[in-house]
Amino acid sequence: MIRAYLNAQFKRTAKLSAVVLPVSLLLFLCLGLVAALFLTRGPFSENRSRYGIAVVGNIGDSYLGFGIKAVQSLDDSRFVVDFDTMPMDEAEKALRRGEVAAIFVIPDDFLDSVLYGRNDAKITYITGDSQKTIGTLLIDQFARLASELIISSQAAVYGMQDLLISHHTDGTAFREISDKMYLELAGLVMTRTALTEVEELGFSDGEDQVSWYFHTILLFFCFLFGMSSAGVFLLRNPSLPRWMRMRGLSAAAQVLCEYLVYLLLTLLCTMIPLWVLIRILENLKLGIVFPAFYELFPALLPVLLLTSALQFFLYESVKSPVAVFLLQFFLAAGMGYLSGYFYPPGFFPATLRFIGQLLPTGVALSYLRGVVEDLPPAGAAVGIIVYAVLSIILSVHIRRRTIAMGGAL
Amino acid sequence: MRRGWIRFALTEKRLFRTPSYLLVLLALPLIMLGMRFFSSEEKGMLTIALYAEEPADDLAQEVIEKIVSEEELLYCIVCDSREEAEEMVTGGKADAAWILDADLREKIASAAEGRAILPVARILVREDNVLHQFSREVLAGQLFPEFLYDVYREVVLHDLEIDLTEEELRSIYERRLVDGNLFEGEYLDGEAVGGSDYLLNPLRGLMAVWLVISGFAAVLYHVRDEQRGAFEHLPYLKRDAQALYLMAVVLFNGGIAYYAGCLILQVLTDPFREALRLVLFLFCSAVFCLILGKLLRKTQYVGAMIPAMIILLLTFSPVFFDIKDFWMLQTLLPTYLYLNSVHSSFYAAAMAVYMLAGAAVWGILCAVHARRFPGR
Repeated sequence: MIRAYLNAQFKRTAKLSAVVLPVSLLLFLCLGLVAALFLTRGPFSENRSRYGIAVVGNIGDSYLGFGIKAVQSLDDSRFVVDFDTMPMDEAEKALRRGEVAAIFVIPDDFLDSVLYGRNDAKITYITGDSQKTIGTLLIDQFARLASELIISSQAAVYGMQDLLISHHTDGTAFREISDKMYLELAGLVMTRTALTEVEELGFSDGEDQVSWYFHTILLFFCFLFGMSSAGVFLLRNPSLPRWMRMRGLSAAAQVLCEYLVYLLLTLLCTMIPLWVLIRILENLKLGIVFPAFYELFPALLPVLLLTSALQFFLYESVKSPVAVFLLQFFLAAGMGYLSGYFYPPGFFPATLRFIGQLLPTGVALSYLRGVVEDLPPAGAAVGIIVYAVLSIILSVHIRRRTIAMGGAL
Repeated sequence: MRRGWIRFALTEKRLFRTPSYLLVLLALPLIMLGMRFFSSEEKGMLTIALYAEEPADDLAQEVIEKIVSEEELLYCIVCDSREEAEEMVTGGKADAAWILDADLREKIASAAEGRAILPVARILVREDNVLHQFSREVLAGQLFPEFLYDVYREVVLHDLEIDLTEEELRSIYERRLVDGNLFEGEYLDGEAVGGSDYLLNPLRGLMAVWLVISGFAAVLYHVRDEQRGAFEHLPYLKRDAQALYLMAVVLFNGGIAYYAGCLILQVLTDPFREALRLVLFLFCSAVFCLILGKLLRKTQYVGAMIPAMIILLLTFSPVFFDIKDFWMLQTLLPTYLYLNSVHSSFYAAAMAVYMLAGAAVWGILCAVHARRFPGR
């Protein structure tokens, strides 16, 4: 009976895999594109390190224009920020197209306001982001730092000038001393980061960004796969479990047969597209070293056991097709967010980091990283087994109850 | 009209028959509440291990206190020894260690005397990257004002030979220090960039994607019913009306959960304006999902396509990062238009156009399909 049921499930799933496999391949290619975009244009990428800023205002040949050119040529911030002067309408278009990260609007009276110490005119920076993203936060901080620099420099120069005036120094002497101090300070401001010395310790216990995101994006797919294979679960004959029970096939046997077939489908639709993707990425010669397929395969196998068990449990326990999809999204995207799939775990407070590590998404990531990086993943392996076994046991229990209550799938 | 309301109520009853659907709707605002609660704990984009070689140095103490209290993007841990700070970096518990030299005040004063900037702090990192370059600016920004003050003191006391006490010098300098920021941030619609939490910001985008996914789930539900023969007795146009009812109910319920989630996260700008834009977004999501459902028509195709949609929506909408290089693709995504419309009427108008164009396309697809199978 078990063999016959298993055969029937294989045949049914094989028909569906004709759709699921090519779509999984497409999905992996999308993920590859996402990875490439994230690594080249995400907020933490080295290529993304220069934020374009459009400067709008009547700067011309004023000290401010000279200052901006000097910052662009000499200051350390030139490695992080790129200034470009342009009219407002061009700047707004560039902002909408994403060519610049922000617009700095310098009011006409700004220079006078700073030179005379009033500081009542402000530079407005306009961000094109729809909310305060990390890019906006960094620009915000940069603006604050620049503001503090200007204010501190002003206090030094104007404090000195106040003393000159109070000691009856004026005219040419006043101007010469002030100009000398301005130039000295300008030179010192440009080299301010020399107050710190950076020492790179080299890599130890850490994981580079590229491999971190490769793993997280791969796992993101694994957790999303439950949606791709919706046809396997949503098109089941709802009366079949009760009918099979009457023919002597227990709920546990049914669940195990169905789970085994689903696991094989998951393996097929993950490993083949993954192999294709790695081959494509290697041939593209992106200058990034990807893990070899034979290294990933044994690492992914337990992870797929976990994800397929969880997805099976969700489809078994949640009868509403709408709710099951929304829950799958919570699982993949919501838990993935907490486990560091999108932002590094270091961004989160300690409690959320701890919760993220305990979630199925966190356990899967710890295990995958551990095996690929040759770190002992014992705790993560236990977590995987616990989640997988618990999901199957609960699925069996729910199937028994469904059959006993005369209900349908 | 009355029949429409009855149908709406019956569809709601069908959805809420399974308790899991209600649980999922309630889970969203509850999860947002939990995130808001937990994200208020100390955190930072970079974890910095701080150590002063000479803890008794008052300037070092001042700098450390300022960094810990003011830098909202950094999570700082004060260490008891240099070795502890280094181990935190090599062990991956901190992204960098900032070690302030002994005799900090004297060293800065000596550098100011020679008008030459010399290192007075070490930054230990595993690897240098964008965030570390930024954090270097932060540390220099904390040390540099003290250096500037010492330059000012040198100029006054030694270059100009004006005899003043330290208190007098400090008082004249501080009289010229102005509070506040010379920069103010705005969005495209002129609204000020307020303080907000970088961890909570993407959640709005995630919830918006969740709403679109609920639309796809409604399409899947309908397509499954159709494959099971539930609508055999109905002509195709009436089946499409069924799909529309189901979509309306699911998105209505999801929209309420979404709005509640946004209220809890405190990310809403003007509540009335946000509600209007949300309604537009719901319509855009509805037509987007209905069109794709009409083109794919089978459960296995719709289900298989949803994860690809999730990835497209998360990547090309301003959820985690804002790419604007693929605007032709991005303007087809309702989440891109909606999330950008939060601070821009341009995108709100674009949503209205999208809604009308999408409705027209869906209407045409329905009419063509019905014509191909007349008599049903």
